[in-house]
Amino acid sequence: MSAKTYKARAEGDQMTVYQDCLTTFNESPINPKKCRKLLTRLYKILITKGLTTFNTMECTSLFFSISKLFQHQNNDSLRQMVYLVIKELSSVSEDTLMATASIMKDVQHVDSIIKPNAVRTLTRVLDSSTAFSAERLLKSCTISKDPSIASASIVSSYHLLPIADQTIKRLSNETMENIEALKSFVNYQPSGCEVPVFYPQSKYMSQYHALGVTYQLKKNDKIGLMKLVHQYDPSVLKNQFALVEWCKLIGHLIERDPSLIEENGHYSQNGAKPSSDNENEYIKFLRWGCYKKIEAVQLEVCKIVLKLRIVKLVDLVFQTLSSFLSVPRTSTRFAAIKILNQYAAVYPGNLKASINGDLETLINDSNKNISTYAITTLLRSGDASNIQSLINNIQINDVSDDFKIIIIDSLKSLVSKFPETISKFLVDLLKNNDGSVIFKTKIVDCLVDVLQSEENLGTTKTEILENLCDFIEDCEYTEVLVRILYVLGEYGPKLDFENSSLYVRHIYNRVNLENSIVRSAAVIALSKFPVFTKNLLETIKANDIDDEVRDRAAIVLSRAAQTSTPTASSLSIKKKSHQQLSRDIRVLESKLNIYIQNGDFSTFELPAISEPVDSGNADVDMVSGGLEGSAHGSHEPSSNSATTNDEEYKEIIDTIYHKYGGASVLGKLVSISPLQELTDSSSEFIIYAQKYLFQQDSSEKTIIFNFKVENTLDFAVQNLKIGSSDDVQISNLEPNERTDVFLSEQELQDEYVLRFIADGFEEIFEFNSL
Amino acid sequence: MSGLSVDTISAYLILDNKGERIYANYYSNPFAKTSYYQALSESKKNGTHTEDTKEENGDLKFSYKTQRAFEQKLFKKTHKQNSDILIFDNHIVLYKECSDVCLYLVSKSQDENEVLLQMSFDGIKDAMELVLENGGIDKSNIKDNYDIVSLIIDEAIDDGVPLECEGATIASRITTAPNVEAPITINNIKEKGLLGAWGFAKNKLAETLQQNL
Repeated sequence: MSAKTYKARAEGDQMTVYQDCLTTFNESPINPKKCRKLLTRLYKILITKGLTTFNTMECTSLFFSISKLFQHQNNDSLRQMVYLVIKELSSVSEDTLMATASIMKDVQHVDSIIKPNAVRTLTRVLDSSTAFSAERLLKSCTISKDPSIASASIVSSYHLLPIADQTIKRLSNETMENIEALKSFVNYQPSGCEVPVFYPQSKYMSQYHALGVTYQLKKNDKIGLMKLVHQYDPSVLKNQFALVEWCKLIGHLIERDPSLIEENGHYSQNGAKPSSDNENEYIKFLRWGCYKKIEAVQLEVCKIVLKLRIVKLVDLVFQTLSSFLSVPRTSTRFAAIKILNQYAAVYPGNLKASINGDLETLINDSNKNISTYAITTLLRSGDASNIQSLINNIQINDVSDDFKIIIIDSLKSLVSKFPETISKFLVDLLKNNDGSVIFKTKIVDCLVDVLQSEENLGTTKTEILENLCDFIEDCEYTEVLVRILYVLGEYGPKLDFENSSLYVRHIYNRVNLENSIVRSAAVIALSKFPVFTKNLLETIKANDIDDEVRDRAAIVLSRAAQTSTPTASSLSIKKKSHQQLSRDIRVLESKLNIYIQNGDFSTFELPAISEPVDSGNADVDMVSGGLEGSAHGSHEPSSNSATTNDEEYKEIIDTIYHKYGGASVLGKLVSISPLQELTDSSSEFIIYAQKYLFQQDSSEKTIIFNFKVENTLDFAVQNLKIGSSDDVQISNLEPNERTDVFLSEQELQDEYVLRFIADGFEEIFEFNSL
Repeated sequence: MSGLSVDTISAYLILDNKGERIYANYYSNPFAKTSYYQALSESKKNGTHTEDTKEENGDLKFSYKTQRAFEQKLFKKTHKQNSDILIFDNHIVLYKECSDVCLYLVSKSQDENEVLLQMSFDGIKDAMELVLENGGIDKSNIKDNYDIVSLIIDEAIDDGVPLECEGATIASRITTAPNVEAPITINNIKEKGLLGAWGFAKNKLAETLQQNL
């Protein structure tokens, strides 16, 4: 135990409770009231501080002393609490089996209020080897007349499924009886305490639990499931949960086998409508669900229909959803709008026809989640006619930033369609609203999208620029300011050359008023207007207090002096050189990466970087599952065999030809990918992969993978297999030995699994792609 | 097929008005839970367990740190928002602020049926309102009646499976503290209200009179 845990303990009263529990539960006779109080305190610690508060040993002794309380009979009040704590402790305590006998005794006992608790706790103390012993008890409880006992038993069976499905299968008949049986409550008077009497009303939850377990038992048996759907139709099922489960089951069946609803054709191919009499049963079921006035069921049917695109019912579903939009229950409205939002792009026609009107009223819904969904849904399906009014309707002021950002994001996708309306809206938003940096940055991003678009938008673009000028006059965020200054420098001269003086004035104001970061950005922006700003830059160069600002001013001035005289024509040159630069950044980056890795600057040639990377080779990205292959630079093989002069490669290629039938079969070597490390350096085997691309003629290509496997273990391993084939590729690998393995693409069979079955242990490396 | 499983709830939480945990239960299959803690204690024994790295990005179902981080983020999103429902971290979260505490129900996935979740959520809340007669749902009342609140939640959700969603049904299954020897306590009268106390006193009086006779 570390010092840290001790310290944590000193803060709480865990140890006091622990000690109290051990002494009080061992007293004789025990005091039920005191015990229940203590159990409550213990439970509170377990629940609020996590189960790891006590170590395994402490938990075991707690568990042991609590199990002593089973001796105290006829006190349901205490017993119920005992079960609650035991349930929680059983997952951390050892030797939980010791309580089994006591719990089973309670389960066998006559029906009482704590019997369901006992049944549910029973499963927690069992494990896969002892689960069968509960079979008889679970069976008798499952057929109990009391719904809570039956439910407890069925839910327990459900939990047992992963470890003892055979046992639960033997209970399937009893479980299925519960789907049909409508059990009503018996009210027990608990012993040992006074309780206010509430009258339980059975909603037949056991139907739901039984249906759930039955599905799990039959899930691989399609016919069985179909029978289940027919046998337990809504005339039997009374519980809402069960009905929803039933609908899900139908959806699941249709999803697995779409022909189920095609029999009578949901696409009427001849144009003739199938009469409603011989309508497909499953469609009929779903239609029933849609008409049934139970929200949960209707909602589930809507989800299923839209997900599986059952065209016949889409209209009906949209009607239902539209009626949901005006119900008072928030969760229902939310659910409906969530579905609509999800499928807005798929069914724009239906949406517009039946729902848009309702959606517009939801824009101002009191629940901001709903109104945001409504807005984005409308935006997704909107067209020119309503987008204007829609945007005018958005009352964005009293919404939190999160939602504003969502709205901006959805507007962003529409910017290309309605640049004018949206940019106007965004400009207002930018200038008239408080908001976080992220929010403002998002708006600027959106506006840049408008500026970037190729279309001629009349005055829109210049208006945006002018508004941005206004905005920077009182913008508090440095980041946003720097961004806008860049935008002004970039687009000002291009779009609105006549008004340059306006931009220069605004930008120069920043130089006078803001911090050095903004001033540096402003200097660069000013340099984009060389005609007007030479003198200004000279002054800045001479007078600014910040080194960076002065340096930048000096650089832009000297650059301007180098190029031709500052006239408007220099703009185009600059623009071109900028474009050139931006294209080369990726090459530059990769070169710099190589430099950082190798520390060797001698190979760094600036002229070389002006050649764009061969995109074909760059795409041979070896992403190995989660492990990042270190970039070894672009080892570019030339298309002829010149590179293969290299002794090593020649040997490898000879081996490949030897294995796969020579140059006549494989063709010529076209390309070699860079060597990629697939594992990290600490694993037992270090694996590198390299791809060799051979081409016969123009059509046939073969990829051969070369895996270099290195054994880092300190003993030799035998029988290594790679891929799914059973052949042993490496019979023996000595420590620190490195071997090449060649595999063709076919041999890997698209399974990027490298199986290293060394004698005695198996190691599997899985890769998403190679 | 997770869509058809009956365990639809991944957590039930009660946080106070500062986002601190009052009650938090994250549900998972009981046997998955047992094996997780077994593995944890074994790795601790072997000394291979590095608590910090393992728990930082751990499973929401088990790792305390991940759970607390989840709760704090959730609280920030929901406090004083009054929107009752939201999608958070791929879970549907239903919540309700009741005076100085906030009740949360976190679904297992985004595809659960919202109306059914709401029913489970309401069931628990109704039951609490019924049983915690005095003053309803607030921090001190929950802390004083922690056993009852825990039992209500336990009767409504069994490791992720909605067990019962009817408030009165849940309430009828909750036992209160045992009465030792002296059945009449001040507490008892307070709980039952004036009328209840009158009725109770009348019965008691009649009993003693009969015994004396």
